[in-house]
Parts: sequence; C-alpha cells; structure tokens
Amino acid sequence: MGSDRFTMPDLLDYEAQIARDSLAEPGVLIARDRSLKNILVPGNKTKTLLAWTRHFQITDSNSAGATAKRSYDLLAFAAIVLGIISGSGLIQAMLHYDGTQPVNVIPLVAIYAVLQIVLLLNYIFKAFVYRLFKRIPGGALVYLLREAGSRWMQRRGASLAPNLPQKELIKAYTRRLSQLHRPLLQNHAWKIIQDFGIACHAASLLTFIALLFFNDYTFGWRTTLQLEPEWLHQITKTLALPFAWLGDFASPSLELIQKSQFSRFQKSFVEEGLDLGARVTAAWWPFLALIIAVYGLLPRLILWVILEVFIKSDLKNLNFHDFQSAALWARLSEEKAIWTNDGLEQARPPSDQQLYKHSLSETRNCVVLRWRDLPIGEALLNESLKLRFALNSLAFVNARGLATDADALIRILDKYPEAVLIVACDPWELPGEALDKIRLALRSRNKTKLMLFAPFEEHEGQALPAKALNKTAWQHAIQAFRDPYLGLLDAGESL
Amino acid sequence: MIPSFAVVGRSNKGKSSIVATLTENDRIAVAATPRTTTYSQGFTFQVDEKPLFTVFDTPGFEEAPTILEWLKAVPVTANERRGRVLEFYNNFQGSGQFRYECELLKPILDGASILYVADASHPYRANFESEFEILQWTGQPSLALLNQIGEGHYEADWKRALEQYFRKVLTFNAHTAWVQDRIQLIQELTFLSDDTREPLKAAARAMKRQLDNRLRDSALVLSKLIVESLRFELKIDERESTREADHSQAFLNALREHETKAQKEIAALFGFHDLNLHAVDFDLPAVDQDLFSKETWEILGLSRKELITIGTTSGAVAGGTLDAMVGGASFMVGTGIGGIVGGLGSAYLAFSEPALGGFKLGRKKRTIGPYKNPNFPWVLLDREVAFIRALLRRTHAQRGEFVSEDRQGFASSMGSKYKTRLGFIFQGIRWNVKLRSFEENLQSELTHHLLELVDKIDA
Repeated sequence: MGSDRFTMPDLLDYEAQIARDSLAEPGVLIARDRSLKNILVPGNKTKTLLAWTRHFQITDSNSAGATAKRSYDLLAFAAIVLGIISGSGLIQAMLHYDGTQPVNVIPLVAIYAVLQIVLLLNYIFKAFVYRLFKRIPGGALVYLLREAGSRWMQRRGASLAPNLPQKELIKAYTRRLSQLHRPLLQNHAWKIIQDFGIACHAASLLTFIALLFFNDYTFGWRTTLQLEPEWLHQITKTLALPFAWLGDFASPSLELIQKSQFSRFQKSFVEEGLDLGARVTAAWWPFLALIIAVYGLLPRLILWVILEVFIKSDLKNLNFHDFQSAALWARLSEEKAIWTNDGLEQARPPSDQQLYKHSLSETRNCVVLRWRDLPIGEALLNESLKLRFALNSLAFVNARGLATDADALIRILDKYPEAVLIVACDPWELPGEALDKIRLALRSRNKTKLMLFAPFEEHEGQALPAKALNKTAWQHAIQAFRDPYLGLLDAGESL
Repeated sequence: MIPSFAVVGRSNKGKSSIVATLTENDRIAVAATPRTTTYSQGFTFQVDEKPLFTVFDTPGFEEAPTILEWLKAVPVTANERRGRVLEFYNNFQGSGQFRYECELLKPILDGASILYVADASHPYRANFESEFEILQWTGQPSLALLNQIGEGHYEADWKRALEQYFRKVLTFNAHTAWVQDRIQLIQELTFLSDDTREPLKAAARAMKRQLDNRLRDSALVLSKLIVESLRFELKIDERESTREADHSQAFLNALREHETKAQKEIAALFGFHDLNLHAVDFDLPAVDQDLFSKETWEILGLSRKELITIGTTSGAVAGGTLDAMVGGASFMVGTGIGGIVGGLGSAYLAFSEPALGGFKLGRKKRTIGPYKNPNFPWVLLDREVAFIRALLRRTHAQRGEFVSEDRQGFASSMGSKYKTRLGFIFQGIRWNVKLRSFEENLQSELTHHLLELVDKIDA
C-alpha cells in the first residue's frame, strides 16, 4: 500500500478481484464500477486499475495478495534458514578431516565452481535467451509439457476438491495468473532459489573461514582420473581468472599443485620425502574461499539483483490488455452517460371484468352519440346502422367532450327510454375520462342502459364499421370501466 | 435549472413510446390501451453524474375541451393566460377531477418545454385544437412530434394544423428512430430556447460518444466470445451417459450458452434489459435458426472456397514468417509448405464433419472439444454482428419479436484483406500461440468493423 505502482500483492489482489468479477453478472459490475468514478486517473490505465485494486483491499484485509506476500516471505525465510544449514553442513562435510588424509580440493572445486557455472549457464539459457528471443530451442516441447502439467494440475485440483464452492473462482484465478503473469511468477520462484543459494554460499564461506581459524587443515588433491598436475593447474588458473588480479595467493601455483597431489595407496603425498607442512598445503585456502565467493555467492547476488530488476520492470510495464482488464478500464474510464429516473410506473394488468353478453334482439331502436367530430354525417350513419345492424336511429346527439354533453344526451335519452345508446366514433378514439363522465351521468338515470361503441370509418360515401380495429385495445379500454352494460358494436357482433 | 421537456398529447398516441425510445428504457410501460401512464415521471440524462436535461412522460389529455371551456370562462388577456392555467391547476390538483391534465400540466408549469405528440397515421380532427390551445396558454416553448403508430399517412394535414400552434413540427417515429435519429432530435430541441442550447449540445455529443463506447465494448464481448468458443473444451463424465450424441449435445449446448450470455451482455450495453433472447427472430432466414443448425451454416460464415483460400493464405503467412526469421535461407520453403498445409487442412475440415474429438481424462471422464470446423468463428461472427445490427435498429419502445433486417452474412461481405487478417487471427487463437496479442488484434479488428457498421446503417 502507498506505492503508486503495482506491487506483487497488488497484482495478485487485482487478479483475484478480476477472477471474482468473471463469475459476476455484467450489470452488477457496471453499476459497481460506475460508482467508483473518484478513483479514475484520467488517461492512466495502470494507476486507475491500481486505485481500483486498493479500493477493494481496504475492505479485504485478508486479501489474496497479503496472504501470498506472507506466504512468500515465510518461504523466503525458510529458504534462507535452509540455505544456511545446508551451506554450513555441506562445507563441514567437505572439510571433514581426520588427520590421516588431507582434504581433497577436487570436490570442493566441482561443487562450488563447476556446478555453479553449469547452473548459471542453465539459468542464462532459460531466462535470458528466452527473454531476448521469446523462445528457446525446443520451446514447443517445453510448452506442451508445461501446458500438460498445468492442465493436469488443474484437473487434480478440481478432482481433489469437487465440492469446493470457489472451485470455479480458483480455476479462473490460476488460469489468469498462468496465462498473463507466468514470467513474473517464475522470477519470484527463481528469487527464492537465489535466497537459498545466497544463504547457502554465504554460510559455506563463513563456515569455511571459521573452520580455517579453529583447525589445522591439510589440503591435497586426488582423483581416479589420470589427471596431470599441469592440467589441474590449467583448470585452476582458468577458474581463478576473475580474481587472479588479487595476487599470487589467489591462484594455486603449479608447484603447489604438484606438491599437494595425494596418493591413497601410499597414504602420503606423491612427491615423497618432501616435508609438506600445513603451511604449504594450506596455501589452497584463499583459492577455495574465492571460488566459493566468486562462483557461488557472487552470481547468486547478481542474479538476485537482476531478478529484482526484472520483477520491478515487469510490474512497472504491466499493460492490462487482456479482455477482462480492457472491459474494466472501459467501465471505469468511459464517460458515464445514463438516464435516471425515480422509479417506473408499472403497466396495470387488464381488468378481469367479465363482459355482459348483450342481445340486441330486445330492442331495435337506438340513440346515436356522434363523438368528437366524427366526420360521418347523420344520414350515412343512419343508413349503415339500419343496413348492417338493423338498428333504428331515433335521434342524434353531437358531443365534443364538453361538460355540457352529458346533459344534452340525457335529455334525449329520457325521451326514448327503450333505446340503446350507440357511441359512433373514430376507430382510434378509445373511450377515456370524458366518455366516462357521460357514462356516469347515464348510470345515474339508468343502471342497465346498454351503451355500445361503434367505431366507423367513411369509405366511398359509405359509413362502414372500422376494419382494422385493435380489438384487444378496445376490449381492455371498455373492461377498464368495469361496467357490464358497455360493449363494442362491431360488424354485427357485440363483445 | 437544467432544461426539461414534457412529452404531452392525447391519450394513446405514443407518448410513452417516444419517451422509451428517447431515454432508451425498455421498461417503460407501453401499451395500446389508453391511460397506461397515470402520472408524470421524469427521466434525466446525466453525463458523469452531471444532469443535462430531463424528459417527462405524462398522462394523456382526456378532457381538453372542458378544460379550455373552464379557462375561457373568465376573459383574460394574453399575458394573463399562463396565470389562468396555473389557477386551473391549483383549483383541481388533488381534487380527483381532471387528474390526468393536472399531472401533465405540472412539469410544464414548473418550466418544462412542450413536446406535443400526435399520431400522423390518423386523420386530423378539430377537437385536438383544444389541447393545442391549452398548451399555448401555458406560454412554454413548444415543438410537435409526428409519431407514426398505424398504417395511415396524414402528415400534411397534421403539419398544417400543428404549425399554427407550435414553433416547429418534426417527424419522429418511436418505433424506427435509431440512435442517430434520437441524437438528431436532441439537436433539434436546441432551437426551443437559448438556455437549452449548451446542455443539449453536450448531451448530443455524449450520446455519440456513448454509441462508440457501446460498439467498442460490444467488440470486446464479441472477441471474448469468439476466443472462448474457439478454445472451449468440455469435461464429460461418462458415468452419467455413455452416448456419444449426449456428449456432443452437451458440448454444443455449452457453446449456445456462451453465445446467449454474450448476447445478453451486448444487449445490456445498449440498454435492453428485458429482451427475450429465446424469442430472437431474425428476418435473415438462417439466423432464426439455432447456432448449429444446417441452415445457419449454409447461409452464414464463409463458403468452402473462401475458407480454403484463407487457410492457404494463413499457412503461407505463418511459413513466410519462418522464412523471414532465417533470412530467406530456406528459399521460401516455409511459405510453400505453410500454404499447402493450411490449404489442405482447411479443405479437409471444410468438407468433412469434424468430430468433436477429445481425450480421456480417466476411466470415466473425457474432455471434448474444441470445435474444429473452420467456419465456426465466421458463423459466430456473422450471428453476433447481425444481432448487434438488429440492436442498433431496434428502439426501446418496441416490444415483442426481435427482428433483424439483414439479408446477408457480414463475413462474406468483408474485403479479402480483412478476411485474411481475421482468418489468421482465428487460426492463431485456435493454436493458442501468443494468445494475448491475438486477443488484442481480434478486439481491435472487431472494434473497427463494428464502428463501420454504424456508418453503413446510417447510409
């Protein structure tokens, strides 16, 4: 926390949150991230995503990153302790001296120089060559093996914990980490190895020097191979190249090599008769100490620093171009243009009022209300009602939706108490409040007077019942009045 | 105070449809029955939490002639008319009488400009004039919108009448107005008053950017769908079923689910929340079919010839890359071999019914997939582009069937350069090499094509 760059715990927390998001509903994510506008650093994706990550870290003290950091630190500590123990133990084992035979320098050189060079070359080959060319010879095979291993791990993980509720989450998390941040994770793993290596070699060196102080060692060399002293001298000279400049003591002389060759059978140095005291054979120690320091400790330190630089550089150069990150960046950075409102009115369900089955056989007389400027004259309406519905139009009333309309209509209807009321209207004039007022006035006089809506349209000089009538809309509009004596006069049938 | 607009008019003339389309809200109650809206509700357009303008959906006029009669009962001069309307509102508000008119007048008396909605599919009638007059008496700036609900065409009559009462008359069909028309309408509203100009211009600009963002985000979802579908594998437990057909069906169903999930995401980006994707009905004969139906595959995607051409080119490009890496020392053998292998592979897969394949995980488990047919990503691309085009054309007032007007798959109409590029990307994704860069390339390619779609729709 606090740094303005992604740290490894930040990255792990970021990926954990993204993995969680991958299982969430998109709408929820949009709403959540739109509310986090204050964390946006305009134009800076990385800083914005870092702020986003830290926003969630505040509410999650036991985050994946923090847990991983603790585990990593613990692992690094364990590696250091293990390194110290093994380094110290190894050098003690190598310097085992019972006073009868000198300490053989060959294994010391092999382990602290040759093996280290091999390991170093291996690392350079794997890390640097890969980094430079993005591939290593045989990379496809390595890739396939790695993929197979990764898949096997995932399957094993899934089968070991089939009922784990967060199985999907863990899968998503590990998939993202392995696909997007493999080098970063690998470098962390390498760094722990270097922690071990540094501790091991530092402990070896310090133990070596300490043992030299408290013991009187005699060094010699022996090997089953027919190695001539000149050859060994050549090898030691080559190995001493990096530190030969320190002085003659840093590189064993040919004379020392010749004199310190030891024969197991004779239990004596090869050049018998020579008085080889500790002073002579002990001359090996500066070379051995420098071998441990230069081939064991120094490369590990350098590698550690390089890995640290790589890790920092990888963290600094995170580009977040993957789909989920791109989507998150879009949610956070894009202008939030939205429509808001305080709550929508819900559509009312249509009335369940059962419609009265009308029978026009009771009467053939009607009073016609011409509703809101219906442009069909009385004569045409009269003719159409007679021809198509066998209805006698006794009277016509024009209504425009004024308050006085009801009074005029009631006066006429009082004259013809047996007549049905036909409301002739345009087919789109669904009955509303104004007609309801007329209906209520009518009901105050006659509760069962039949009132039928007759949508008409004029065609070639004839008044015809409207053809393209939205019957559902009309039915719902009429049902809304909850009046069983309302209906629709429609081509001879009534609702 | 931000500019506001009250959408008013006779009951059942499409006010809510217009508001639903303008505010991109498919949850607004839109029905053919009158009085669906019973109170005024405001919808505010915000950009980064800054409100720019509000649109009010209002109930319809029910008793305009009576109200006008009431207003005229007391003689007033023109400068007193607004006061008279206010008097009416104060008299009847909360009384239960003229409740719909009181509701619709409320935002107008609070300062909202008027957007009067008329249905130009019905003939003009003089009784509408009482509504015009009442609105005129409020003294608020006003504009009329001619909506088209039915089949009839009476725009000329309506225009002649409306122009006498309103400052401007525009045609705006709530059921066909796509995003560019909506932006156009917002721009037209700027003329109503000087105060509205800047916020509305800003709103129009934001709407244009929003469209681009939506298309970019759609490209992201689409890219993700294609990548996931191309690499999808399904673990099958053979203890549940040993029938090969069941396994294939389960695999295809999982891919269908991927598609539905992506379509839901894309629909949500465009503000469609209640779209019934199971009822998707494209006019394009193939797309109304299932993702894996024979008809879909016959019409969408690329032809076998095109697939082989793209396979050959992709192989040649891959081989050519190797040639380039060795500085041409291979005498272009890589290009040749790559082309042949790519072409033959595509031909084999295009002419055969590729088995789903898979490998055993254990005695009772196996993994099937990925789907190898070279046409699969193209069919998927075509379907989703058709889906996005249909979304672009659909308005939020539309209910019911989801129809695409496309007559041709998108992929086959692409230029050969783009086809080759996409084919190469699809192959890269299949082979899972340098995954990130292929994902990024796919995303940018699709963004480019989707942004172009808008221009084509406009044209």
